[in-house]
Amino acid sequence: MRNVLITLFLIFSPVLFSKEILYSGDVSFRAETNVPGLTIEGSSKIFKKLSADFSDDLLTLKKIEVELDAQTLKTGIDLRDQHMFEKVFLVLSAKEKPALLKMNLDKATCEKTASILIKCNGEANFLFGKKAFSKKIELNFDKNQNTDVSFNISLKELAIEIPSYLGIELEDSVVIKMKVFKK
Amino acid sequence: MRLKSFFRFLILLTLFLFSSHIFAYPTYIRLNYSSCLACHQSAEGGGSLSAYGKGIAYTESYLSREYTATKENSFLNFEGKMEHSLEARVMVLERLYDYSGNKTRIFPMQLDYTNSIKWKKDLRQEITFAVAPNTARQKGVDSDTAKQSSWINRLYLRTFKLDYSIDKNNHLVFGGSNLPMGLHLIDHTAYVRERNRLGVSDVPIQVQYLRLNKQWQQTYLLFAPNPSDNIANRESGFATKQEFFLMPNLVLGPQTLLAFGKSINRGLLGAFTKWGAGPWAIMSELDFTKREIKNSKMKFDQWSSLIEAHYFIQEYFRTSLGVQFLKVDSPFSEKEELYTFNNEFKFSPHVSFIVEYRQKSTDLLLEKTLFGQIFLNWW
Repeated sequence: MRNVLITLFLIFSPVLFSKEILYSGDVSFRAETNVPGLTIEGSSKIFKKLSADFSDDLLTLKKIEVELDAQTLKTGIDLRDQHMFEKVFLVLSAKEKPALLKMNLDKATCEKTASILIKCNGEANFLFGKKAFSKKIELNFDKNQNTDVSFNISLKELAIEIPSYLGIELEDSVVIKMKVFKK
Repeated sequence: MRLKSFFRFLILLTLFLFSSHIFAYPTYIRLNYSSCLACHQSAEGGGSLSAYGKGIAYTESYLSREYTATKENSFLNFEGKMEHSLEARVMVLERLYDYSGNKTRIFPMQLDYTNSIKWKKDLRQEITFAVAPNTARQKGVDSDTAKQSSWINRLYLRTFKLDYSIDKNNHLVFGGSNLPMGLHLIDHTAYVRERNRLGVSDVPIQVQYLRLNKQWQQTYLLFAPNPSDNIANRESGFATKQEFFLMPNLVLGPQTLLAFGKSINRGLLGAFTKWGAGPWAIMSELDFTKREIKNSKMKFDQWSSLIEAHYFIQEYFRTSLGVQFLKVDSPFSEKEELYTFNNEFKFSPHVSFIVEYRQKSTDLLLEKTLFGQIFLNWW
């Protein structure tokens, strides 16, 4: 019986002493075009993984993992979504299905502030299909441990050919926003 | 007689088979397109569609498909310099209240031919000839008893304008068309349109200057009477319209207008909003108008408002609820409320159907009406 208890303790100890927090939320993108007032936007609420791993005292952000299937990004026009997936994301992922968008942040410096729970700065590593890049991001976790993240990515940096359709052409910079809520 | 009916049928069939885009304003709001230039060739919207606008029209229907600008658009287009479009609307109206006239009517509501010529890269001309029922052009005329003259006599020049693009952010427009005020509603009987002189035949001569960028769109315009206007209705003035893109999915548009007429001067102060998110498109407008009768110096106020919430069950199927209010002070006291329930089915890029239930109440009357409309477009 004692051995069983010790075994169970060993199995569950990482869970008992870990502060991995699972989130739900949405990720969106917004790209300006060559026509003023015409922007292309899309979003998804379906994450394959969305979690943050804190230290016990919630002062150290050990890791954030975000995984999104590109096929779940919707712009409001089905044919456009199909295009985006087939001609951008599948190309990026070298025809591998599903085309995953991944973000990992495993080193961040955090501090408590008066108005928010913690403020963390770190360098996030992104993997869009087979293209990788890094980006400095700032995360502010509020008292409910929710956070909003916003950053720009360059299509050229990702070696994405600038998408264009019937005279409308995207600009290089795309704004990515994530709103996440503790489950 | 049979031959005449056959030809009528043939014309309708032709329109049905070759018609194209449909009115897409709620779709434009749902997709958060804040500039008319997204889908139209004119910066102030309406009229000829851009290639991208045609692409959107093709994708947003039950029989959707990808649009490619190919030879299907080559009829007399002089290598892309000239474009044509034909828009027709047939209405079926059923009155659900006690009414002494025809309870059910079927009539052609609209027939517009638009011709657009691109003289130079930055200079475009657009002309729209329209046939409208007599009742649409003459206020106070009963639609059941009015004798409809020949369509030739009901043909008028709805739009004639020159659009000069100084650059992609600055445009000058000269010509005659509806004032580009408020929301771009297709329903010319909406209080915010009809009661603010934005009816189908209100086409003053105007000079517009439009500025637009990523944060806002501004329109400044001067207008003068159209020579074909009834002398008593002629007015001149100026107007401004702003559209601020407050958030990615919210537009706020304050507007002002001052008009000096033969018999009445009026000033308008209003605002409209457009909000789109996911399958939703919500738009609203509130206008305050102060009028002065010149002879008697008598002044009176008018409030008109509208709010519509559209929900897209599918990209091609939209359902909406709308509420409109009108209040006019004495000596022309009026108080009206209008509730609408509207469903639109975009069958193909060429054809769409709208069914609408309306309930209008005044101090004395309660009118319930059912409309069915078929929109046919070709370009």
